[in-house]
Amino acid sequence: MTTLAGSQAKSKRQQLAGKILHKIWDQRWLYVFTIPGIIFFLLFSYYPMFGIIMAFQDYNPVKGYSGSEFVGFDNFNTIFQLPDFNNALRNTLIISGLKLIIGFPATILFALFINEIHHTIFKRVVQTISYLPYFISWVIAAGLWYKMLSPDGGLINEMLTKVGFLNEPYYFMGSTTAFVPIVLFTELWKNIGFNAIIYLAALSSIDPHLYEVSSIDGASRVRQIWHIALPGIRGTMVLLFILSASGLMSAGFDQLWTMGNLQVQEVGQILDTLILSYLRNSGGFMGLSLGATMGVFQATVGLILFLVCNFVAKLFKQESLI
Amino acid sequence: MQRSRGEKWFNVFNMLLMIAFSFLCLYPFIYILAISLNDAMDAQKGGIYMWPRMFTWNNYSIIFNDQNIFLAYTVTVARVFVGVVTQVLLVAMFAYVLTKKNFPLRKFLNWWIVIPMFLSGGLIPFYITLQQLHLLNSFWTYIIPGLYGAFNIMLVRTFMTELPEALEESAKIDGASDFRIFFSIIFPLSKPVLATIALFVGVGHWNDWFTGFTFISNADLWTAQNLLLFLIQSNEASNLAVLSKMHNGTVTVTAESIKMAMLIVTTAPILCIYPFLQKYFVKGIMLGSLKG
Amino acid sequence: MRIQRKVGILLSVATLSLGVAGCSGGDNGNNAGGNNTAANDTATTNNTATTNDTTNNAATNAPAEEEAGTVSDLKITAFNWGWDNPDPAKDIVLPELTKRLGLNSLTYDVIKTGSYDDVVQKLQLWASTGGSDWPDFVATGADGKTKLILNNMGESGKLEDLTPWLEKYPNVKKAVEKLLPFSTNPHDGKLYSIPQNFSNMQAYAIDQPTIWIRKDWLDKVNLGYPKTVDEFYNALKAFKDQIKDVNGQPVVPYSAFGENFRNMINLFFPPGQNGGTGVWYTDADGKAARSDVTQPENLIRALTFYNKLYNEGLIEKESFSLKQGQIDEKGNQGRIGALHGAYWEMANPYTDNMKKTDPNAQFVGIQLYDPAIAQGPSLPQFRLEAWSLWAVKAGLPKEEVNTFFKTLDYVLSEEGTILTKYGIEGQQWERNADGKIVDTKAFFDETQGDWNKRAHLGIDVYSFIPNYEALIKNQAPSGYEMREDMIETWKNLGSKFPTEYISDPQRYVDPGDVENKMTVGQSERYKQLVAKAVTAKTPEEITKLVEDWGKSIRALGYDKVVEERTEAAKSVNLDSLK
Repeated sequence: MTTLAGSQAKSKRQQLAGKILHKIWDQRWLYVFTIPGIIFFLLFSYYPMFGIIMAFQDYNPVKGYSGSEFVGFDNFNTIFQLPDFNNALRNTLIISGLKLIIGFPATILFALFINEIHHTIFKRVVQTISYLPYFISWVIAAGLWYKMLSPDGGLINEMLTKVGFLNEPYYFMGSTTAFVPIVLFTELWKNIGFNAIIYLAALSSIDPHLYEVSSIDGASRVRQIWHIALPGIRGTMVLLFILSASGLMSAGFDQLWTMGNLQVQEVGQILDTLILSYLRNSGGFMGLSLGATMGVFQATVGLILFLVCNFVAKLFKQESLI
Repeated sequence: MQRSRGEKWFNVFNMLLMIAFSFLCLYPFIYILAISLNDAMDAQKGGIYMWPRMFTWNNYSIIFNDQNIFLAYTVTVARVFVGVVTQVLLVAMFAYVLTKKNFPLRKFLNWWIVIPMFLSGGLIPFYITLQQLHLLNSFWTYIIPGLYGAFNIMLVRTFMTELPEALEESAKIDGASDFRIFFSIIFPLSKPVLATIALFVGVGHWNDWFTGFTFISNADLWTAQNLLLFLIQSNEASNLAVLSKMHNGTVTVTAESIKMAMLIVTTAPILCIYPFLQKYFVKGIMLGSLKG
Repeated sequence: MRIQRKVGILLSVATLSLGVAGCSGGDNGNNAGGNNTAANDTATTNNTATTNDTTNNAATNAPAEEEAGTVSDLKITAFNWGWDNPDPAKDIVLPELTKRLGLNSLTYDVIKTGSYDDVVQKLQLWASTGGSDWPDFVATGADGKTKLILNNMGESGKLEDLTPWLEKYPNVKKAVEKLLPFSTNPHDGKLYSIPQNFSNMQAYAIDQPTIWIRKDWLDKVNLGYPKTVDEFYNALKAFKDQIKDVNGQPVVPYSAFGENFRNMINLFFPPGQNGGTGVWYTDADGKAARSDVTQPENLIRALTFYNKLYNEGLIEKESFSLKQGQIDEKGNQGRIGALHGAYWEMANPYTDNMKKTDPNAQFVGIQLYDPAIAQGPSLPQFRLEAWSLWAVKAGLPKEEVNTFFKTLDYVLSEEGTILTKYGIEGQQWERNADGKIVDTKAFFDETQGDWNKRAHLGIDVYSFIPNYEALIKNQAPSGYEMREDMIETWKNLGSKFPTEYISDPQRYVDPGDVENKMTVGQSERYKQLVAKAVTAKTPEEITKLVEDWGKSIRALGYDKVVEERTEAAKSVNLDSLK
């Protein structure tokens, strides 16, 4: 009895094992396709994460991770006491928040305007040109805008004074009031064309029949946009809004690193730029630990934001981002 | 009647708006080009907005006379080529697996690529890793640590999910392996999204100077970006080099004018290529980011 | 910053501002002397040291030589971030040096980086891998962070203690001896780096933050050279009201700050007591002090002065965002009335450029003082310091280290100095009627004194440890020294050379652990404070900013740093200043 049951169980196990093996064999190529990737991320992303230890150490590169002294959460206490950090955290949230609140609708508006062009060649040319700033680096873009906005012979100041809008040249880049709006504007200038692609795609997938019907009903263009176009891209809008919201902890490192200057650091210093400046010019090795600590803080908050947004996305679209 | 007049005004307004916007996007390049083609000392007087006043190739000849420039361009082109081909292939394979709902590791793999988007160990551990893998100071330093990009995988994955399943199923019935299905059906069908990431990866490789400066000590392996940035860093020490170059009797260039020429030399290849890839990347992004 | 840049240049060129001055300074076509500069013809007195001849290398007088032989191949590493390197096809110095040293090969490996920050980063990364890719023989800068890395590397047994080697090579030791107290690791008393380049009062013309002003504009507005900050203010006001540039546009009376944050805030403090957040001094009680905390009234006066300039449009509006290249551009255009810069980097190129459109244009260096705290300009002082350092990896074969020191020793000899500094007799240089070394005509025609072009031939690149006495003895006064604007400048400065070394021990204390912790990010915050105060709308705002600044520094642990520094100063040995 027992032996029979035992052999039955055994054969069941065998069968099961055979099934699993069979399934693995069946999907062998899928394993082959992914194993290099698993190894890659293991080596180049996960393995170096041992560096996070730095945030809990008084790190000294010569002594290394094993030789440096552990200080527990001291570094976290230190950064919260630093005036730089609180300022940068606030600026990060303000700048990325504004980018979301203003950039998001502006991109949709831009897509709607492009969509309303009916001259095919003109439309294509405008689109091609609108991607152009996307392909240049912020180093170059920042240099350009500095030059254009300069109070000393900059094109914009010359125009504004000639028209009589300004009495004397205004130093835009040195003004704490003007700086954030300029950051927002240049961000839009650089990325709006490229970001609009997604909305244009969604717009083009709206059934043209809907437009025809509403035209016959005598609806104006604006009404058409309101009643047909916007509802048609609602899904995309929600998804993208959530996606951008999950990136709230990064306000655009390249842009702020290249556009910021001493006079406006009060409003322009963000976490990413602060971390880099700590890593580069710090007293002794302390900046390494403090920079890493800020990085860990930023990543943790970022990851939580992402999870929350992912959850919200699930609620809206019944599917998750990952 | 009323409505069509309103429509006309709307169209005119829209056209003008778009023309203004296009000009805003184009103008910086016109400006850089004008300065870079203008005599440097003359350009310092200001007032050049649209086209050069005193035409010269001088600024460009300084850059192209640098003895190392051709070697650097060769390295750059090789790097872009190898980097694009390898990443596109590997990312496509990885993303394809992520579309398989019945693959047991799918969920794990999704998380596996997402977490590194937020967490990283920082530069020092990364350097130590490369050193332990003997990946410093070689051509492969440019390629291997950049074989995969998590964002690109997600983009391609979404695109592939949208492909009609019927094709794949009929191939399966014919007894095709995943390998064959991938290479003969999925890969060709994914051309738009693959062209998109090819562009992203290519631009990334082309613009990257950090890898060269940080992980490569041998200047023979430098890319054009490294060399040109080195030639005209905005920091003080290198201005000295430029200044002294100016000081061999006749002043023909300034740091600013070479910088402008450099901008053109480094961005022109990308600007020449992207319009041709446009129809692909637009399609790629459209389908890659849209679900249903 | 200034030091760092200097170090940078010196590092790569492995020589002194003797080369640098030629590089950015007086290389206009009429400079017959080529690129030699600061070594003057007057200070040849102190010439007892190392005019040893070639046969006198260490082999003959160091007993240890018998134990350690030599190797035939040597590789030396240095950094470079923005200037020309020797061109192997043209280099005439390196093959000759190799031959004279009896080596099979001598490799000079140059690592290019973007800036000195990148160099420090590289050293840090090398250190973090346990030193496995650390070069055998490397020249680095000598800033606090580099020293910290080197000393840490040494303490963990990865760098060679060089003390015994200096005993074997007395000539090398003699050349760098004065600086050894400052290179020694305070923790274990060992020497993990020796100076490569260093300050020398006889060989360096004054290199203080100097203000350069347009002499021709002063003449136009009928003013003499300003001596006090108030006279300076009046001159700037006159520039603004009365001067237009060649295009009839308004001028920039004074360009300060910019990318390199050049300013004269220090003039509003007692001499040697202000240099931002990095400079400490000993106060009346013998304690360490930092003037931005202890002398708020002086800081307020300085910032108020700049604030007045800013609000009246006398100073560049974009002071805090301009890149150096943009300042250079304006300087070259002749649109700036006064600016900052060490003598070898700024004003002469501007003058030469401006002369093309305006023959009278000329920048002349002046020195100012603030009558509120001083009776006259302070005496030029000099910090005795290394500008770059050699470090040797631990565990190398004795023969190899020996070969390295033999190389240093030879380069330090008069013959070696002449070879590395000027090239080969008859080809690159010849002796003039006074027996001094000048460029041959053919060589001068070829290079026009351009330092970078000379570097292609390896000239002025391999002078690893300079022999000042030999240079002073052999070098002809350069065209640079005879420039009209330079003669005028030195007249204004009262002296061409520093008259004494800074003797405040606090200036020689390296930051300790407590200080390193407290000062993270502080220099950046200080700059922001200055930027805010200079552009402030009301005087009250400035007072408030400075007061808040002092409070925040104290809150971060200023008193602990004072303790640490006061203690550290006790062990600073300043005997070598005498």
